[in-house]
Amino acid sequence: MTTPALTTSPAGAPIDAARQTAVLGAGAERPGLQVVGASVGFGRGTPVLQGVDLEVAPGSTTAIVGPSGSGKTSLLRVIAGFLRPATGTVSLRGQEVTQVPAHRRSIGLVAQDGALFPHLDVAGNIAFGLPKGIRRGEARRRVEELLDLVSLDRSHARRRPDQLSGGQRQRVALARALARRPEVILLDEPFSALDAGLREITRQAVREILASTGTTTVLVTHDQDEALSFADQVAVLRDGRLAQTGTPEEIYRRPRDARTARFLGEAVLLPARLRSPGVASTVLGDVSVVRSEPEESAEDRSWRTADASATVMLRPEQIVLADEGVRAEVLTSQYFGHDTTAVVSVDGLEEPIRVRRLNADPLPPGAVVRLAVAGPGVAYPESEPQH
Amino acid sequence: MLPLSLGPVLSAALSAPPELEEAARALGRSPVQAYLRVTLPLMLPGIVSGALLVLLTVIKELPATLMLRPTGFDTLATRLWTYTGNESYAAAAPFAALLVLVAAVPAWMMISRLLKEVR
Ligand SMILES: Nc1ncnc2c1ncn2[C@@H]1O[C@H](COP(=O)(O)OP(=O)(O)OP(=O)(O)O)[C@@H](O)[C@H]1O
Ligand SMILES: [Mg+2]
Repeated sequence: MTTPALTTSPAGAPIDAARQTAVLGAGAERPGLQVVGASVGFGRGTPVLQGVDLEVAPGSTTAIVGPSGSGKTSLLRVIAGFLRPATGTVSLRGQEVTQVPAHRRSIGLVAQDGALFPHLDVAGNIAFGLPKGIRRGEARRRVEELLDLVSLDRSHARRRPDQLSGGQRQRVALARALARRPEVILLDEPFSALDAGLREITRQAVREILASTGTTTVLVTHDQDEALSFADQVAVLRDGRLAQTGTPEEIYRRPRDARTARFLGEAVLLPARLRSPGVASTVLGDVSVVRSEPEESAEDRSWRTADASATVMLRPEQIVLADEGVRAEVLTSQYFGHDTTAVVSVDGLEEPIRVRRLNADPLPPGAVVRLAVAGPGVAYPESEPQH
Repeated sequence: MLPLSLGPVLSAALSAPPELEEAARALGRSPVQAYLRVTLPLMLPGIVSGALLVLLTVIKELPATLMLRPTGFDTLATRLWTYTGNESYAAAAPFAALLVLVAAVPAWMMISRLLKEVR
């Protein structure tokens, strides 16, 4: 990852972020949001964040995924200004804000649980986010607009937060954060309590407003489909470190290691031997393989020719039924509507593997099929340390 | 008095978690504004309850008042105690009634608040 030169303030003096942005203009080359080397620890024990580098282009969306307790919320709190990193900096549009207090950063935060004000009704909560000094009628109009935006019925405006469902509360929290039109918005699993249909509608509506206002967005999510479809960039956080950052395609097609592969989507991992450059032989036959990193150092190149053992990662949809191929027996089938996943046992493989087929009927258990591989897999040479 | 008021004030503090103050700050309010508009309104009921409890105890408290009061300083409770000590119940009656009435106000306020919370 390239790290552009930081334009820092004199000796980290507190700066009014909004004013500085106005003076500097929207620097197109500068990342909308940049975190450099952020480390955070709570007392003794392993740090919660260790040297996290994250760059989000202005107006783009980055999804942060990672197991529970990996530090996702902590990272958002560092960006928002509620958690001061022991080392590292946070910059908005090239301007360092590490020392700027949270309320002057123009960063909106939707907390994991919504954090609605219990003494205010829905309208009061949303209006809290509106700029001060706005006229009454105007405020009411904006509140109604925002309610529509998050598909909440206007009749809910007078309800108290404790009279709302979890999903409704999340939507109020979203509307409240959007009301202020912040430069950067941080969303901590904002759609987790919504049912599938509503989630898609709300996600789409939020995506549109964020795009139209050019808001730089960081979204924490447990939903891999959401991460891959909602975001321009995906960052995988593990044990307080960013394991990999890249476009959704990169993360899905070329995960850096087997754990990352399994974290975003299902992965089929096959023991393999690397043969000629870019080809590995597996129980499913010879498979063309790529490295996870696009650039290769001289050291990297050596593995391609060596007859080394490796693990090859394939996605279940890359394993297809063929007339000729390796024999496999269906153990079970899972039907997901849009696709069917069959768990099959392959001769010469201890673990059964998963085969995903779009728009197909489930295969009956016991059926014998023949498998082939479509598209390149990712090779992880054995010598490579698996983090 | 301190342990007495601690309960309600503590529960008040718990009803205003710091995340809410943070939410207000993420919406552009300064720490002072966040406190005034979120934390204080949420804690107020508990603070008032604590104060009422203390008030009630002060009014009816006798031994502590007898020991600590400056000479010539009377409270309803000490008047009541003087007159009932002399067995002049008629003279004591108005003070007793007043004590009951005055104590009833905070008691009623607390009970009604309690009922509202239960509902
Ligand atoms: N205030 C705190 N004091 C001490 N430890 C904390 C504090 N806040 C978080 N932690 C610890 O830091 C680690 C990361 O927490 P964090 O909330 O950032 O995880 P997360 O990735 O958001 O998890 P989840 O997906 O469950 O929300 C956890 O081990 C947590 O116990
Ligand atoms: Mg979290």
